[in-house]
Amino acid sequence: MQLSVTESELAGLETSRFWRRSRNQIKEKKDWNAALWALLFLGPNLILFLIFTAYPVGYGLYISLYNYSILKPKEWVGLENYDTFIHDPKTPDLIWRSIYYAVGTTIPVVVLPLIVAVLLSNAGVATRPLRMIYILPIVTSPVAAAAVWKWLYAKDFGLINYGLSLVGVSPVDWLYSLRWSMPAVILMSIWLLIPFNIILYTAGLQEVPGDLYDAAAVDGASSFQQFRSVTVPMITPTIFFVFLITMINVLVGAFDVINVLTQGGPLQSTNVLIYDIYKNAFENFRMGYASAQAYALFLAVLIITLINWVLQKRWVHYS
Amino acid sequence: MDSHRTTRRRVLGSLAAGAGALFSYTAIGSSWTAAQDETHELTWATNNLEGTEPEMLQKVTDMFVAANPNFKVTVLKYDGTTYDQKLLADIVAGTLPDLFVSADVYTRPFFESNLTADLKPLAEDAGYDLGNFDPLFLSLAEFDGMIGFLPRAADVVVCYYNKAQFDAAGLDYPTPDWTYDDMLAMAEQLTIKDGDATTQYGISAANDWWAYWVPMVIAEGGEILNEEGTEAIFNSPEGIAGWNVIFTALQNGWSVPPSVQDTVGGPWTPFANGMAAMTFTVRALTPTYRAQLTDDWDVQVVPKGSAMRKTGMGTQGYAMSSQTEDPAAAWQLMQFIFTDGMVVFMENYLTVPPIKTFYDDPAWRDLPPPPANTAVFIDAIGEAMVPPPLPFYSTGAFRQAMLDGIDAVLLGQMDVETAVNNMAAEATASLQE
Repeated sequence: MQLSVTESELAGLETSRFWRRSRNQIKEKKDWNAALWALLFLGPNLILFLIFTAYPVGYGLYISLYNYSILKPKEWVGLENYDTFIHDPKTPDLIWRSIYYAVGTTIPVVVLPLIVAVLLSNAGVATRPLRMIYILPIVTSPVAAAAVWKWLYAKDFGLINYGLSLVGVSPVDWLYSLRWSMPAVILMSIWLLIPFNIILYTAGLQEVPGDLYDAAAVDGASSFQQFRSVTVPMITPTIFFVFLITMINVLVGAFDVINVLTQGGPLQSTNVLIYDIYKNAFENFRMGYASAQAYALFLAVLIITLINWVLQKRWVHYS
Repeated sequence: MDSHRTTRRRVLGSLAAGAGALFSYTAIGSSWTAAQDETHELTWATNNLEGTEPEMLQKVTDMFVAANPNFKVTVLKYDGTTYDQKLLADIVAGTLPDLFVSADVYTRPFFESNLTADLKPLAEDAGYDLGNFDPLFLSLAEFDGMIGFLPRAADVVVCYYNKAQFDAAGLDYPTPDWTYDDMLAMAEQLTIKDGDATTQYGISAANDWWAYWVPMVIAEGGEILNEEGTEAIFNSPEGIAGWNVIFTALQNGWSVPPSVQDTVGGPWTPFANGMAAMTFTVRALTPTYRAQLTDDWDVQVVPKGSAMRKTGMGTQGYAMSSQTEDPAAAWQLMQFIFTDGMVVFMENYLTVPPIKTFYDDPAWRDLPPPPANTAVFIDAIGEAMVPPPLPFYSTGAFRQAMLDGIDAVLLGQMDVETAVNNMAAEATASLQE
């Protein structure tokens, strides 16, 4: 191995060092330019995000440490609001109802759209008109839709009871019943959330290579076997994504439906955590306590999401 | 039109307390009349998105701007169901309107939060005589010697009844000496069922509204709060007797249940669409009923209880923001509302003026019926009671206690006595929070 270095080689080395330094300087310069441009384009959105999302989130945490009713000066209480929430005898019922609503809504909203999307993708000429129909709930205001559902659920003149009366079932006061009010709220939430997930599944299904189905067909697989052994494994990333956003949506987005249909009643039977936060903040003006509840909900959503993130490695296939 | 001119003269005469005061209003204007050579921009918020109220405000505004071209006034329509919240958001944002609807329940908290201007010194500076207001209603705007708003309406709860439905049932109309027993008997006969469904109810009422249930409890000899205002005591035998009137009507299906009220648009809608034969509310609902109810109808005082007759009263009016940047201009608009502008409210069936000199004014007394028996609105004032010192927000824990109690009885979870005891306990807890 040659260990000595000639002068010309040394000169070459110096030249190469010079160019490397220059290239790095140019690269750094380019990075600065790129960063500047990125900041310029992201700036407006970043400013809005900081003002309307980051700041309220931080301020919520700050408020949760105070007794605050807007109309009177804030009073520092430390973690008392969290302690009150944890030890409030109403909290277990509140959590139970939130879980009931979340599970009752999430499972159908994850499963049913997949079936509908698969059926729609094989509906031939009817696919387009059907897609237009299922997108209707998305373009309908949840409040307007809930008002219509309220009429559907009406005891004396609602369409649902009219339909049931034709088969001899006595009228049910769907929204004023301890047994049926929550299922009624869940049913409307399912109707409202299904269409968006159908769109996501439809996009996911289009990514499945057609030759896999051809191969399965050659091997004699039935349609159901193709669905179970080809479709489902291939779209597990989509299923995971749909599950996560649906769960978050259900836990934090139930307000509209509940507010219009039942306002959390009767006898708190449809009062879930997100609606209780609203009531405490804007009806009882316990801003600090409501903020503590909001952070408890955030923590719960974060933990559930992290658990799912860890578990997804066992069943989600990305390639 | 003669009556219109008469009314304007009366309004000006009474509110300005004579020509001297009227002169002082314009002459003293060096301090409390906005400068004429400047443009003044004001905002005036109402707690209605649509309907008669915002239309009236716009009409008053147009009159004011026509008389004062250097003013620009914007009427802001706030949603009544979230009015409290919107004002609170305005407070935090520093965008509280110059003038806005206020009411008895807001007087104290708005002063304590330094939100409303004290109108007393402003009126004194302008030579505006507050003594013309009925002291009963002005008292609802007072706190600690200050005046939080000028009352626009003498709101007293009366009974609205559908004459056509009474005729169809072969019933005599309610009389001034009718009792709650009479009311329940009428409600039973006015209720029409078709199988499992009810096509017509005897009563539709806001059962959890203090102005409905509190007078009932008092009329039966009960009380609402202890002297210190720290404990709810409406669960006495007399109080339970008062609540029994409400529950008897609800449990027998003679009164529109909460779920149906919620579906059709609230407790007062069933009367408007002919679904209920009687309802209990204030004159502000008159324009709605005139517009929607095709049957003939009239009004009567509320029934007597076994101890006395009592009815709920309240008022709403207009407050001035303490944050206003142009208080002289805001006061000028305020004074216009309660002089020339008042006619607009009276002529539209909306308001019983809270000013004694207007009680017999033809501007509202001689309007074409229905209602024909307009004397009821004045007669009822004598038996009206101011709200008990309940917590500020009607949507808060106190009212939730009433709602839950009503639901518990209707859903068969509790008997009336247990429910009222529970309501009182919950209400007491909310008072002590």
